[in-house]
Amino acid sequence: MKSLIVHIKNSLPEIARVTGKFEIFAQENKLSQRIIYDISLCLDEIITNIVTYGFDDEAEYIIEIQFHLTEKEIKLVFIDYGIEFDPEQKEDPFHLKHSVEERPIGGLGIYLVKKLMDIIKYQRVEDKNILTLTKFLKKSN
Amino acid sequence: MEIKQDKHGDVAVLNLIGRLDANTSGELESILIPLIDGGEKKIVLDFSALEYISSAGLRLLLLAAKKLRNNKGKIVLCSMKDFIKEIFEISGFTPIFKIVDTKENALKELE
Repeated sequence: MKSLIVHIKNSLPEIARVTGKFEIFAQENKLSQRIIYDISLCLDEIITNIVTYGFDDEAEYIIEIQFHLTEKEIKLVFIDYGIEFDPEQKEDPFHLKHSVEERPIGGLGIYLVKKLMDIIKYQRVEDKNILTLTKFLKKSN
Repeated sequence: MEIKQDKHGDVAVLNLIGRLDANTSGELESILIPLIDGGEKKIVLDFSALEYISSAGLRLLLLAAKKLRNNKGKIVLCSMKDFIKEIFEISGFTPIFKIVDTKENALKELE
């Protein structure tokens, strides 16, 4: 198993930094462009969520992101000390079928992550949120 | 991201270069929304150099589509990469937007 661990601050520009590190890791390990795209999108959506909703003060916090790669799968683990948030409990936006006028703006990020990843597991351990996303690597990927 | 703005007759064309995500969607918003509020009714977004879109970018496009529809305007997206097309499909955005292969066809749609 190959692993990469990145620590970032709770601010949106940090997303580009973690995505950049992941891309280098992915290229070294010959992951497909397709997987790189899907993982980058999930990184973006999850970290945006943590940074935007996870903290109710202006202090600086550290978010840890781990990548664990085997031949079969890539696993992402997000660890933060923010407000409890379980994306599994978040309802899918049933408004997807609505027309432009009816469709509420929002709710899409977590929905995309659920669609792109194969397993989503959330744990609250003491004061930590631990979110694990798993994507299976198929031969075609 | 970088945004190149161009005008073809009465059609405003925005060429989006780079990444449209939570961190950059504000840049597009600050150009696109004033265009629509200023009365622009025909808009083409050229995606040929767009490498990436996240839900923040999709939300902005939805907001623009809603505003344009209220103004009886129309937005056409062109030259979308396969990855991005798939995100549009998963999100249920494909039926909301007119999506064509080339800029020429986008301009024809708005003739």
